[in-house]
Amino acid sequence: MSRLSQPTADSGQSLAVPELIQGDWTSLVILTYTAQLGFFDAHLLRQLVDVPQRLILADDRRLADTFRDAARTGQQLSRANRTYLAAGIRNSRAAHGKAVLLMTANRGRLLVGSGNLGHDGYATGGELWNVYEYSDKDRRHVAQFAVIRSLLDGICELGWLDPPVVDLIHQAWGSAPWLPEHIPAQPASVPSLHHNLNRPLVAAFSDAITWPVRTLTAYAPFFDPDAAALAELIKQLKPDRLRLLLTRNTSIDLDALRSAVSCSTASVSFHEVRRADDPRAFLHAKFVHAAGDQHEAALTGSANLSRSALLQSAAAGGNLELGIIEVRPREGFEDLYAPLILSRLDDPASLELAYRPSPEPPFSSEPVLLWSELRGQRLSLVFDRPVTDYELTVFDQRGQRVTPVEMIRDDKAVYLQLQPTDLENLARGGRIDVQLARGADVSASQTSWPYHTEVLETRLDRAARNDRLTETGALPAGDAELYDLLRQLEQTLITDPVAVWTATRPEEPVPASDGEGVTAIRWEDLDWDRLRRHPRYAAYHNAGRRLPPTDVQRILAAIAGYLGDLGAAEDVEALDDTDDDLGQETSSAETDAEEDEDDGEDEDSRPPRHLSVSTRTRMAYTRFITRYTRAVRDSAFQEALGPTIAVQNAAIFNHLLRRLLQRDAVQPDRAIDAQLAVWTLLWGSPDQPGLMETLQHEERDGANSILARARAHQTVLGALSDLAEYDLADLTDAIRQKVHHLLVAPTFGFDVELVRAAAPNQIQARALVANLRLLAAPTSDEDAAAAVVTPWSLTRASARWSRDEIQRAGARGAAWHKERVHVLHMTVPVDGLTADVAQGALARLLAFSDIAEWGLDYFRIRFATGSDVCFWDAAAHQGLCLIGKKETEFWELEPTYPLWYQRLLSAQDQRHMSHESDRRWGLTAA
Amino acid sequence: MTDSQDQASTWGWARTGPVWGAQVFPPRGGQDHLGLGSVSSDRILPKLSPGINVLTIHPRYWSFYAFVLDEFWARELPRTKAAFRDFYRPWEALFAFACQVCEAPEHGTITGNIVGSRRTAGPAVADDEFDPRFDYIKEPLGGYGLYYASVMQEAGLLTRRDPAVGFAFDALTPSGRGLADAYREAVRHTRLYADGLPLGEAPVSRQTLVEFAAAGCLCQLRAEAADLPLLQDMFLHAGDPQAAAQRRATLRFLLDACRTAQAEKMSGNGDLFRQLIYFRVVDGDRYTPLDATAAFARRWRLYQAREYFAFAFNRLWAWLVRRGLDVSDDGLIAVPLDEIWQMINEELDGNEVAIQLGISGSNPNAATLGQELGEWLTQHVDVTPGVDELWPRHDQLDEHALYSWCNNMEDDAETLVAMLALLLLLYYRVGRPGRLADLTADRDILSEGEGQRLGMAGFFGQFHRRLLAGDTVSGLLRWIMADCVIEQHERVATAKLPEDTFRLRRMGEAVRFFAKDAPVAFNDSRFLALSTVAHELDLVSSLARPDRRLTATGRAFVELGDLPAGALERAAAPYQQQEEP
Repeated sequence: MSRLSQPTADSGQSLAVPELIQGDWTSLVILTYTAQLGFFDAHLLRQLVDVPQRLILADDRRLADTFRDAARTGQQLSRANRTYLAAGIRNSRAAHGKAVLLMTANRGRLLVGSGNLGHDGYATGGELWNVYEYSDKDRRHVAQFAVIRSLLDGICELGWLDPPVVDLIHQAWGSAPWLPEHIPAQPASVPSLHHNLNRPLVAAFSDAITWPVRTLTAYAPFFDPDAAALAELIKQLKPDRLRLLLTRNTSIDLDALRSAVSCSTASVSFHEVRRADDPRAFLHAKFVHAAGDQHEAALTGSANLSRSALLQSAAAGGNLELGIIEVRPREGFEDLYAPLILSRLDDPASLELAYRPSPEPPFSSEPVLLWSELRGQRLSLVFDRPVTDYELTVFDQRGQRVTPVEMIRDDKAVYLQLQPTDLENLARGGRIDVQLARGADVSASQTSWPYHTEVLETRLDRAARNDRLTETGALPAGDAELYDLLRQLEQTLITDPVAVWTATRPEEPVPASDGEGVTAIRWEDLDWDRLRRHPRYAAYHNAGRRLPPTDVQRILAAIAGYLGDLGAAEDVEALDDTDDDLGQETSSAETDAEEDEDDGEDEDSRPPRHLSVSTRTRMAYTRFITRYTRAVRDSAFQEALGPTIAVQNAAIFNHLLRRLLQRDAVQPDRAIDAQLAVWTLLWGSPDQPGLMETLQHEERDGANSILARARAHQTVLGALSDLAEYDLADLTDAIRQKVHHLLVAPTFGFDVELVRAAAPNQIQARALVANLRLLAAPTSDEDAAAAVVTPWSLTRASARWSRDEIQRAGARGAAWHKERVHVLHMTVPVDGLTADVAQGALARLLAFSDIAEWGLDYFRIRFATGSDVCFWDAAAHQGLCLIGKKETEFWELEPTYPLWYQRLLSAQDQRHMSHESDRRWGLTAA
Repeated sequence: MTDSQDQASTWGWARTGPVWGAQVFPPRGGQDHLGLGSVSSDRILPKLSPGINVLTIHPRYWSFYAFVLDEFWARELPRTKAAFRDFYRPWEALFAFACQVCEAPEHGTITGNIVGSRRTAGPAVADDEFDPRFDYIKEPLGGYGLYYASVMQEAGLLTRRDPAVGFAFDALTPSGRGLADAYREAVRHTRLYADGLPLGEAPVSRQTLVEFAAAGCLCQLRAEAADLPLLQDMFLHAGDPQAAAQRRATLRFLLDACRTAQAEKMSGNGDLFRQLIYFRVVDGDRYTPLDATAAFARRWRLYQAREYFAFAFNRLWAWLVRRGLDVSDDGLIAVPLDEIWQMINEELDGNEVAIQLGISGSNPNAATLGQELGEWLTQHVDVTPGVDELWPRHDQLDEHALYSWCNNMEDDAETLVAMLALLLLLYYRVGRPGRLADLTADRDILSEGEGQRLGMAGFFGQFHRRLLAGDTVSGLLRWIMADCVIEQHERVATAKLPEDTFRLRRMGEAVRFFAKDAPVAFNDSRFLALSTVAHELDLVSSLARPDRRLTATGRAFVELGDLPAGALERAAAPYQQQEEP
């Protein structure tokens, strides 16, 4: 063997297909030969929650195998054909095309390639893909999308899809009005994508090659038994040289291969091919590459090197295939080979190759159940031949016999009118088993997953509904549902300029935003008049409930309901009975103890698996609240919104932010910043009044009522207590200032009753106060200086700390001694400095030391004027002020606590401080 | 920008491909590759011994952690994880050292790990002074956070932090405070506590810890400690009443059963325990449950049946994975399913089970009917005794013998036959329709795992039909490999995505194999935890030693099925009023 090519240093990029199959799409259509529904159900579906219409069209025989395996091994697949469609394409041979089509009203994404729906097809390195994007602003690839549509429309016309499926396909086209029914005729739009519904791919490929082929390179994992497709390619393209790439997994008859190439005058070489970075990767891709002197053409896609794939059209009995045919200048397909190693083979027999035929479906002498449908109260069963002579019994997923009210037979179809209990069971999804009997002959039961057609059809409508809003209280447990709630909140609330834009200019795309969610919307672009006529605006203004509850009121009611019923069962939607929890390994409680001790994570950092929040959801919520925060701080925007909306939004976000933080569903620094903004909006700051202070009369009463119903004050205290768990250095000062302000702001009304109302019991009330104290307590030297000088209207820079040696009295009358102590030096004179003023400063310093838990027993302030100084020695109970050369001694000093601290102390519940250890350690309530 | 955004912006406009797909999911080791282990560990064992799991084996940790949490609440500290961590870790570090320098005579029967011993064992032997700041364990909240807090909550000793409902931090209930008081009473006069040494910076002397251990060590619970009656009460009565009843029943059964095979110690991996609860005869010593313990003895027997059941599938899976790697050139080529079936048939035809085990009769092969294999087995193993009777042993062919024979990495032909034989024996014991009818009361255990994780009842229903239909050994193994091994592994591995734990994956009519390990073992039976709890609650002498003796309390418990309740409630009484909202 000799090596022909080495992988380049840049072995080309690769495509993570699952990452492209997600996003805010309206419809998804997957074309595939085999369908690993377990993979789709367990992995892809969780990232497709916001795609209402999900259609999988697979080869009917392979899909039947999948369903049969699932039934035999007890897989529920209860979402199949209920929340997503999995239907067979009933052409005479294999439906082998592979594509993923994602659509919205103005965008599209199309992947076409060699991978089938499943782990191997979408998530390994052995497949080749082409990707096309569409937007109304860039229509360059619209023809590729049109090819897919023409293929599916053709399949529908040929009757290869079950009637309910055809309706869903048409519904999907309705969601993408930009998708043309016909392939555009303009030469500039000639698509590279081809299907073989009416014309074999080999013909299209031959048409594309108008030059002599010097080298023809071909790779496919499957050949036909007589290598006829390869022979035909050689015949039509007449290459000077043929390079045939093989792997140890290639299905090929070597004798047939030799025979096929022997007719050619081309020089033939065989090469073993594998991925350089993963030699074990199964290369399921297929490509034919024809290189001329100036041009090259490649055919990639789904077609193997077989007669039915390449040489026949689907309508003429061949497979259904999709191929991408591109012509490029010389060496234009280098990337194709970049990740590959090609090793020349002296004899392909060294790979021990063999042709492996696909199993033929067994012939059935009994009627075969093709499909079933649940529509209304009727279950329809459609067979491949008349069943009028047969007794028919249907069982539901749990094996319980269905006893219809009425059974109507019509040639190949049977219609069962269901009883309510049977209907309820079948409506949960999953399979039915149908048993046919003729006389004493009972056939083996056949399995079908009925199409829940109405459910599938209405998913598009339901996408516009706001049914998650009532879960704003507890927040939905699942990530998918949490994401759903975000979408509905964005559709309901007027939170920021983007919300105003989407409400008033729905036909126009929102101006692009940066990564932080900041859009380029200008103030003058916002149509406030139109907003005030919009139902979203009206939803905030249903005072007195003259109309049925609006969505905003439903959100507020959900919050009030949740907070009024803390500890009760949360409104958690029952999860489908899926394989989701199969992934959970033996609980950590049963694993090896020694291993856990050092390898375990902090258990509190591990959310339960079913509550995990994906990065996508977290980022989306973070963007949402970041936009809201900016809008809250935009006084002009808030003024234009008006207090009614502002207060209701604040009540909602006050709750939502706390719950999102608890769920770790949002970036903490952004969420905490948003909380600070909301609290400032409502209750102001030392520098500016809040809404609750500025509102008058009815407006203020209304705002109070909204906040009271949403238990906003309690939520603030709880949220603050929660913040004690975070270490956010950048926000520490802002949080501290906010706590100080809220503790003293009259409109907030902090007192012991509020603490009691915010905590579930008195022990936790103690915890809440302790955490408020942690957040509020200043600790730095600068903070201490500020506590001393602020009442003198000086800045903290007017004092500095140093460590000086002083003479200090011993405790209990012991001798004086030298000691180094912390001394606060004033660097500017203090107006009106007297002994009382100095003593007051010491009292503040003493209080600060107490609050900050410095544990000091000596305090000294050196003033900038002359030899003025004062100190308090707590150990000796002795103080002195030397001001203006006049000495004033004192023997008692009471700390002067700031107002916020006094409020905190007054809120301490005394009744629980008589703890045994409190007494032993001499601790009492502060 | 996310990867998908990145991809979307890169691909689809100017660049459309063709582009190779990426390997999306990173390969991982994983465990429980058929999803069967969690049936025993997470579903069956919690029904049998709720609140006592393999990691919560020392009762006195309940007291100690309650005490530390109580001390934390006694101080004016923030109620945050960070504050608790700083308070708690010195206490537990010194406690770990103390429990290892303990010189009390009772300490000789302490089994199982002391939390943090991996890092503290060395210094505990070598050092004379111990640093309260010693980094004894990685987990910030040590044994409390890792293991005990959740079971203490189940027992009603504390409520855990849950900001969603306003619980800022873990707090003891009145019962928890009562238990904390009792422990404090035990250690009140030690220097370590009286001087608050864990809260200081200074090292603590060995002598101080020895003194503390004499009162506060795990082993001293049995020495008439003040918290002993409270913990006895807690283990027998606390928490959900049904769970408490199940715990009582299991402890009573354990005490009843451990009087068998007195000449041997019941320790190590619990092998003796497994055989005792399953066969009720070990080395000729027979165990006949009391009437009152018969029902739970039967449930434990079914638990062990499930363990053999899971072992058989896991062993066949490991066989297939390793042999598959062999024939696929370490995963380089996909192996057609037909070749796999052919390989199994060839193995079956060449097996020498009977010869290797020295069993008379013709050797079963691929074409042997399943029923014939069953008959051959039952000629040697007596499976006629009922579900509540003693099951006679067979040195070479009973379930434990087959398990022991195949509990290795030797993937030979005999392993295939032995694992099928193991399933057949289980079928005869508990899976035949008649036996299933006898086990109606225990249907929950037999059915655990149905749908997703191979329930015994469902499997044996199909097994029965296949035997009646004349399935051969080859046919049965092919069915098991296809549906219970390959398909089941694919389901489990798919559910574990995005972590790629696949060892094999079908690709059309072929199977790809992936070169990773394929370990197989029983799940922990909780024997160590149960026996340690029973011993340290002063119900029985150490089960790790021969000649076990029930204590007077233990005898009373076995006789009456319970001990007087109320100790915990009385201890909690002073705090009940304070707990009012």
